[in-house]
Amino acid sequence: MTYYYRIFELIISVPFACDELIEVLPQQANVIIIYGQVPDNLSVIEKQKLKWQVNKNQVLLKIPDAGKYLIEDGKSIIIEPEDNAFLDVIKLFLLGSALGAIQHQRQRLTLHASALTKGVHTILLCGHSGAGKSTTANILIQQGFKLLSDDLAVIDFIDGDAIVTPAYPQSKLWQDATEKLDIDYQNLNRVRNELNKYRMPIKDNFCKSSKKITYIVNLQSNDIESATTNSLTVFEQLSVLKRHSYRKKYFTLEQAQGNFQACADLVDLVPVMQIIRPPLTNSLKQVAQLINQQLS
Amino acid sequence: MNNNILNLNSVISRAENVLDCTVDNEMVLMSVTSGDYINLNAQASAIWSEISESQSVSMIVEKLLGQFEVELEACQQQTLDFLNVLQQEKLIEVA
Repeated sequence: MTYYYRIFELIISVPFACDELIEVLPQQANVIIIYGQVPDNLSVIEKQKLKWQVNKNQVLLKIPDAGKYLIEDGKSIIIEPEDNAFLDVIKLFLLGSALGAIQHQRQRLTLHASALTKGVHTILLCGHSGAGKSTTANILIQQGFKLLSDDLAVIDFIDGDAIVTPAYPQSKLWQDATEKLDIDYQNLNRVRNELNKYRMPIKDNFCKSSKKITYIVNLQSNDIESATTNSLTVFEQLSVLKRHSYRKKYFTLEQAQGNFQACADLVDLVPVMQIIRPPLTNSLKQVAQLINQQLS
Repeated sequence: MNNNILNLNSVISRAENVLDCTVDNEMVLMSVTSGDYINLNAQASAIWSEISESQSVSMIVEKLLGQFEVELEACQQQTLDFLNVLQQEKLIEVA
């Protein structure tokens, strides 16, 4: 059985159900995902580490407890799961690294960021794990923002605007748990329980259409008294976007060059500013307040 | 150490592991290896544009003289100074 979904303005066909994604009628898919045999090595390797190999048109992922993924031409993903691999785990790397590699091959700028929209404003929220993106996103949702993407901002440049495309209506806490999985995936049962526990669908507060990005916030946690906004030089803005580009390690040199100019184009179109906040979680309410002040 | 210093006859080209982009109308280089950024003024950008293919320093100077109002000697000196910096940062290769 084949299932069809829309994600990042692409139609994907998947050999298993992904309940968190937005389902569409069967149609010509932009990205075809199937089960099949995947070689242990690419025939041409431009870059590699133990768990991945990359060349101009292909990415091969070898992920313990999930399986092998061959991502080609921005159009197809072949998955060869490990014996006894859990579907949740297979899906996790499909929706993360593998779909991320698809965007690289399609030369679309992809940032590790949440995207939220309200009225005329659409913001990207980027920051390292633990910076408080997800919690801030959830506070903003409570204040009337709608979520476009929780973790991955796939950006297109259309008619001189930078546009962020919708991912799927599920909130971050699931992703937090998956990040734990990345570190500690020997203990699958515990993690799986956590995944279920923290999965947060957000159907009513999801925005299904692409939006023009008006503001980018780089969130950082630091040892300070109260949350403050900092303006950044153009070069600091560029460096923030470069730093938060998704799965940079899979870039070929050509893709790295494309990413660099795309980050520069985004800096030229959209202001990037920084909010530094104290370590305590309750400071994230101040962060949400600062964001609202900037937008008004 | 002395062979590291470029002269007008040196033939140079961009190193492989360097990214460039234009932001806020200025050109920025980034070394993939070190992660360092360098932003270039108009003259430096013109030099970088010239060396997408191998060029001798004297050829680059000749082209710059056509683009900028600058004396030959000053142009030679400034070009060599800049290229020596790029070489120290491993952003160019010498043939």
